[in-house]
Amino acid sequence: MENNNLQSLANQINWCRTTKNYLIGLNKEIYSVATNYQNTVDGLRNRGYMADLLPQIEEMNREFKKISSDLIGHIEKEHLAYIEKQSVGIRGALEKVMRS
Amino acid sequence: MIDKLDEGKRLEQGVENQDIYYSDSNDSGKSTIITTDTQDNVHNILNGAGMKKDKYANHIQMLKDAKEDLLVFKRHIQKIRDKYKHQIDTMENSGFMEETVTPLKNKYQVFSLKIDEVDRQLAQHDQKIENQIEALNALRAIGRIN
Repeated sequence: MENNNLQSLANQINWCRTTKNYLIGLNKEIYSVATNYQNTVDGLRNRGYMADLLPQIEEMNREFKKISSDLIGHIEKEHLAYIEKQSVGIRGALEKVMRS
Repeated sequence: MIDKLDEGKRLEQGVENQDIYYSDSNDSGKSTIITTDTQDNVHNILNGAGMKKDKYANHIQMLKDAKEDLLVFKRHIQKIRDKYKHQIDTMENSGFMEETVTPLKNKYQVFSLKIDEVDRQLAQHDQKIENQIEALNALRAIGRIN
């Protein structure tokens, strides 16, 4: 019974770790793409890109920055925080089982 | 200040039998490309309207790179969404209680809608960048004729 319990808690910790890695990786990727987007806009501006076309690209960059920071915030506050909370609870339960 | 272009830039610009000099101190504050042929005749290959003909290619390439970057990201977010969905579907098998699973299922629905929103925006941006590439190519073609 105790072994089953231990195994279940270990599985849950493993689940939390894997899921957190996916989401942290996604946030890093979003941040990286947003940075590249900004670099492209800066690069075009610095290389004398056409004045008629540049504002549209700049506006797109602002849109992407907004939507990407919203997504990053959502992942951090709603998902990573929730999973971390579960993770702390499971670790506490695991310690209890180990001590008994 | 005028610097002779290095071999890499010469090849990038597709000019082999000319000496090319790059100046970044013209009156407009913008850079200018000057070439000299074998008779030492000097040709300013600016189109005069602000944007340099020989830079169209660089700008187009930057736009294509940006498009590719967004496309890779578009695929990536779908993949992560699927993986996350799979994780949530297997939560109960991993031993989580229903009261822990249900809130995350609800959070996932919101997350998924946000991914849809990002996906739509990426598709729109892809199209707009493509339109700009086409506009630049059209200008390029006119430049060649003129």
